[in-house]
Amino acid sequence: MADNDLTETIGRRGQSIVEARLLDLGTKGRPLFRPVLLGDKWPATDLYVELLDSALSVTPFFFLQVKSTNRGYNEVKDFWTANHAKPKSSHFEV
Amino acid sequence: MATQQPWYVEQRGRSLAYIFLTNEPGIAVVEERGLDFGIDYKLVLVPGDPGDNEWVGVRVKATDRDPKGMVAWDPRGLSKPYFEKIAVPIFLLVLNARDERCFFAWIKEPVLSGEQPRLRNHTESQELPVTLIDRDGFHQQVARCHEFFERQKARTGNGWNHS
Repeated sequence: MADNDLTETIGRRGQSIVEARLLDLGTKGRPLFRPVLLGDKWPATDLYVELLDSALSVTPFFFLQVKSTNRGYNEVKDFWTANHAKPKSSHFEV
Repeated sequence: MATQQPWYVEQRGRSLAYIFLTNEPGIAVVEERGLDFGIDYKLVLVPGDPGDNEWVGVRVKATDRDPKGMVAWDPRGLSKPYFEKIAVPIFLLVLNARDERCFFAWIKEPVLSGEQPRLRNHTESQELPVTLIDRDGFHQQVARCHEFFERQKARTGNGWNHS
């Protein structure tokens, strides 16, 4: 099997998992979101997602990027603390 | 895939099918978009390019209720000369978009009994008998396809069915 086939399969599987979760029919029997896979031509985003049944006059939407891996990951419980050094002194500290 | 149902049933069914197929390790799942061959995915089972003859065709059908034993399907595309020339197994995967259950039926079934491996063709039927399938059951069907190709290769030398 070509490596690019397997890499593509892992990436596409991640997108499918996200798409299936966004389309979960839930208790109402219809999904809350309408996702569209953007395809390879979009470099930074994978899905365009509309919020359904919104009371707003303009349909709310967001873009979503999916990262897929089959190697596992390290969960960071407090992302901000782990990635930002605490300042030695702050004008806002009491 | 069927079209007379809400848009999200087909879209979710297709996603669930891809997730189900890629649960099986060691196979690549290649989408067949834009080709009017009547299949939705190619499962590439062995080392090589998808153009090789050792792949399995998958037709996906999405539904929002469990099929009761038989499922209606449209054999469009699958009667083309392309499929008569290349002997590959093809199956139908029916996904229930509501409860995520998966059902399986052979369209071109590998038959391993007897001296020569062959394919039993179900494309004449308007309805196919489907059975509920889980990961273990699917693994067994993939193993059956592996054996089909190995025995066919041993017979012809290149995997092509010349019978």
